[in-house]
Amino acid sequence: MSSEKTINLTLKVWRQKGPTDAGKFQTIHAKDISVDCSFLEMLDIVNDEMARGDQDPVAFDHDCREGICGMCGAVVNGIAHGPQSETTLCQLHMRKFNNGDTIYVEPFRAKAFPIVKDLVVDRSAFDRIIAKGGFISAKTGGVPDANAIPISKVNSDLAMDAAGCIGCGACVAACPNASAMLFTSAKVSQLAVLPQGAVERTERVLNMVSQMDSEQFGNCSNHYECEAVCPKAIKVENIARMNREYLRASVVSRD
Amino acid sequence: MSLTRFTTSSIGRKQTMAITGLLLVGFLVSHLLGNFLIFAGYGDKYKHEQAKGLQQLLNKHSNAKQNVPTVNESKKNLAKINALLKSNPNLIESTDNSNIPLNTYALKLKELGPLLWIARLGLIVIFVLHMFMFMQTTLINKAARPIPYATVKDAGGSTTASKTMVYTGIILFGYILLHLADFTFNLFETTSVIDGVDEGLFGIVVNGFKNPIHTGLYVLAMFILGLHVSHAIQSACQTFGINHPKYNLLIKNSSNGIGIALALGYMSIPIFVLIKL
Repeated sequence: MSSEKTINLTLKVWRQKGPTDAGKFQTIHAKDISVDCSFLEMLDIVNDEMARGDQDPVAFDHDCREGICGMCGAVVNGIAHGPQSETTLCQLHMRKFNNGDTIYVEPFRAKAFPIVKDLVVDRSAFDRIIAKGGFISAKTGGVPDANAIPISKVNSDLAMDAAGCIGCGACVAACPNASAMLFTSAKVSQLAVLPQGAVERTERVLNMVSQMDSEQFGNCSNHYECEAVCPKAIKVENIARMNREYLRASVVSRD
Repeated sequence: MSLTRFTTSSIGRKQTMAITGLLLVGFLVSHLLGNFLIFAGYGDKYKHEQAKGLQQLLNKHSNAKQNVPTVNESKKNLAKINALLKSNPNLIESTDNSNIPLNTYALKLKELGPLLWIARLGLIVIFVLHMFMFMQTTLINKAARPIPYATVKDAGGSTTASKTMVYTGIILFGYILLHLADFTFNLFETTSVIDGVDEGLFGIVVNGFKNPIHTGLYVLAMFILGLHVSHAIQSACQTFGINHPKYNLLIKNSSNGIGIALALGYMSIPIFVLIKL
């Protein structure tokens, strides 16, 4: 951790004009960066300089900048969301780096996440997985009474833990096989442990896994790198639950 | 259950790989127990049989009838016997080696006839399924990230065993082919004659492992097997959804333990033979 107020860094940033461009690393010198900056603010400063010098600024995804929206993300020095665990890139601060460091910044790399520009990737594959069953079908009407459906504390906690997933895609980025199992399993699990999810339990897991496969993600080989980088600490226990759900659904499904 | 959907889905493929893998671990355990009979081949009873065999051979070619000698007495006659065998190599087959425990075991298996072939066929089907699912998933995995990262750093999830599964798997396939050529079909034509007596399969194994390079190769292969199995069992559990905070440590330790035990068990045989003879 840096004890200085400002640091100078050498950035090696992936630059790619568009989806079909080959792309390459660009070396950028970031000078006098306050250690109180977040990683994205550091990129803002660098981009400001570049724009003033009539250069194309680095494109990167961001939105809430408080670690809850799941929009930001890049692979920093080989780790998705950078070196600090359980932290999104926007919540990573420059005090975690030292003066003179060289930092590699790469986009999340997966065939299912095509690069739009520079560090921006298209993660709509996740949306299509959700669209296949990551919800419950409920008739609208009057607001039901609170606690009308009894749910055990254990299951409520498990569901809430799984629901912590912000869909940032770091699990895919960190997986040696670019598998989306942690994401998909979190979305299956949050409903699988609740009575509200029981109605569509069988079709949900079959359809979501089928969509996940057709998006050309890789297969989970149980390295657990996903769990290690997840900014929301989603557990691989969810993957096990989805594996169970899938086996059960394969047996009981009448299709 | 739509079998096509299951076996062409990512999870179905892995569950097929997991169950076939666990069955192969079962085979490894039974195969190891069988192989431990090699140690029994060094036992006193066997030594007596060997001495008897040597003596019978000697008696056939010297008209003087003698009592069954001790091992040391027989060994004294070795020079005589070896000279005899050199001049008349077809004599080797005249000794009975079915009393050696490993050979008895192999003979009993052979006597199963069609049942043995059913078991073999089952093993081949399991193995081919395991390999087929492995190849499919590996190809998909490689295609899922066409452009690699310039810098890759472990965040703390993967282990040496998990990262090398693909490579240890490929090496083990090569090893299995070599092992079949070595001891099942004896393509390298290792002699089964020890001290002038044809000792059948036991002789081939012992003579094979007398070669330090041969032994070294097997020990290395068994290290790789241990590495593969240590990740395989815990991985198979996760793939079947067996993951619970109460049992996870037990599963992990058992998986590593079984991997180490299998590796050490199999390594002990060639090392023992190399040191003993």
